[in-house]
Amino acid sequence: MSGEQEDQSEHGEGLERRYRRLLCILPKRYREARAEELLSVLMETSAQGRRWPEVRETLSLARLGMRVRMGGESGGVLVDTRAGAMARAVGIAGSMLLAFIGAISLAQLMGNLMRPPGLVVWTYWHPFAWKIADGHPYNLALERTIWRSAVPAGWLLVLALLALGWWQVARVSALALFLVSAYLTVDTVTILREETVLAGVVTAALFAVRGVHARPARLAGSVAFAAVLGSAYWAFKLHSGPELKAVMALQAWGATDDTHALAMAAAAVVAVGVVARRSVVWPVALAVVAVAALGPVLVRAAVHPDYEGSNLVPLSFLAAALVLVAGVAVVRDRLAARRGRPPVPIG
Amino acid sequence: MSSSSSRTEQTFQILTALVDGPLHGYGIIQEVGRLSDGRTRLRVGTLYGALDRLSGEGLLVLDREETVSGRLRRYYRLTDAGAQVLAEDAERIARQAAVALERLKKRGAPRASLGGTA
Repeated sequence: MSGEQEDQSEHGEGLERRYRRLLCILPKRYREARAEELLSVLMETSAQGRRWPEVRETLSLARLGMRVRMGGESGGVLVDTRAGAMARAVGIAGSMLLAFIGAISLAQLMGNLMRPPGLVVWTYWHPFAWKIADGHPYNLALERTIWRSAVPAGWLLVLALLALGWWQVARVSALALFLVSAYLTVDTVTILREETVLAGVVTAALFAVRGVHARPARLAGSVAFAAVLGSAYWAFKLHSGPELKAVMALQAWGATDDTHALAMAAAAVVAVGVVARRSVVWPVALAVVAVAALGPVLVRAAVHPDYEGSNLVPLSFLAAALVLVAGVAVVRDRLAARRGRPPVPIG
Repeated sequence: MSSSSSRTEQTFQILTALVDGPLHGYGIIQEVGRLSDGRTRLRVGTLYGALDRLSGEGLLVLDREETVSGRLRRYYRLTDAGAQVLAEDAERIARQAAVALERLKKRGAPRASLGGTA
């Protein structure tokens, strides 16, 4: 073999090794079925003397990997994949949370508008705390407030569309809501305070869901839809009734009594931990939603500690504990797979 | 929207490449390049995404496997359903092209640019 041929063979081996490594971007099941065939085509299409994979080829493989992981056709068969199930769970859980936040906020605003005086402000980092301000809220800033409160309530529509299984319309609606919300936010601090980051993550998840995962979320969607509407009605009626006292009792969440709030967060984490014994999908999805929803608030509190004016320990605990539970579930699942145990169910 | 109207140009070219007989992945990429006069260069990820989708729709099937110089080759074949869908797509595109050419002729576009001979 001449020196030039040896050099080319060395380049070829290096390229093959790099392509083989790149193919790890594909799910294991797909790789087992197709890796040798793909590698053969990749090597045949590569120019002589090439040492590194082409950027465009890399991007196309990344797109294929994403598609297959999200439940696209694999060898002509629609596959139920874990990543696809997680994206679906993030989309559904995130839409529920956003619908809840938006509908409650709008209901309270409407309550204020219809029964002046009195301004009740609700924020999700104080989920059960109502602030009652003195004075009349009607001023020039009100119009902007109405829009900011009305737009997120549109997530209720997304939730309904997911329950019906109209994923394409739900995706477009979510994107529109996200863009309008982002447009309505004034600055980066507001983006961190409002649910813009969560809306972005949920929109991305909805767009990522493909194949068998884009099926109707009938039970979860309808129950959540009814629960959100019920809560919104309750919040709307609350302004004049004695129930306000009951709500005031829950003010402990993140505001005054950490023990009460921490107990509620711990109960939620234990419930997620029980689910995690069966499947990693929902615990991971809830951790993603929690981080997307609470992360910006915690960052903002760290940057502007005086602004928040409340104790965020329970929320920090909730987010961290959910991430921990999800992490443990994933590690446990991986170890079980290595030991050759039957895979944990996806759903 | 019908499935045929939403089919992409690349998918159309892949189905066309398989009309003359089964081809393996690299063969499809080469044939599509030839059919498009080098304008289309299919990426491997794009090709296999399309092959997965078309297999799912029953428009093509795996014909055979062989190993050449230690490399695995899988040949894909157009099914009857695939041929029928391709024929429908081709007729639709031909009708649209005919309308476009007719209108361009009325507008007085140069003959050479319409694909005619001088």
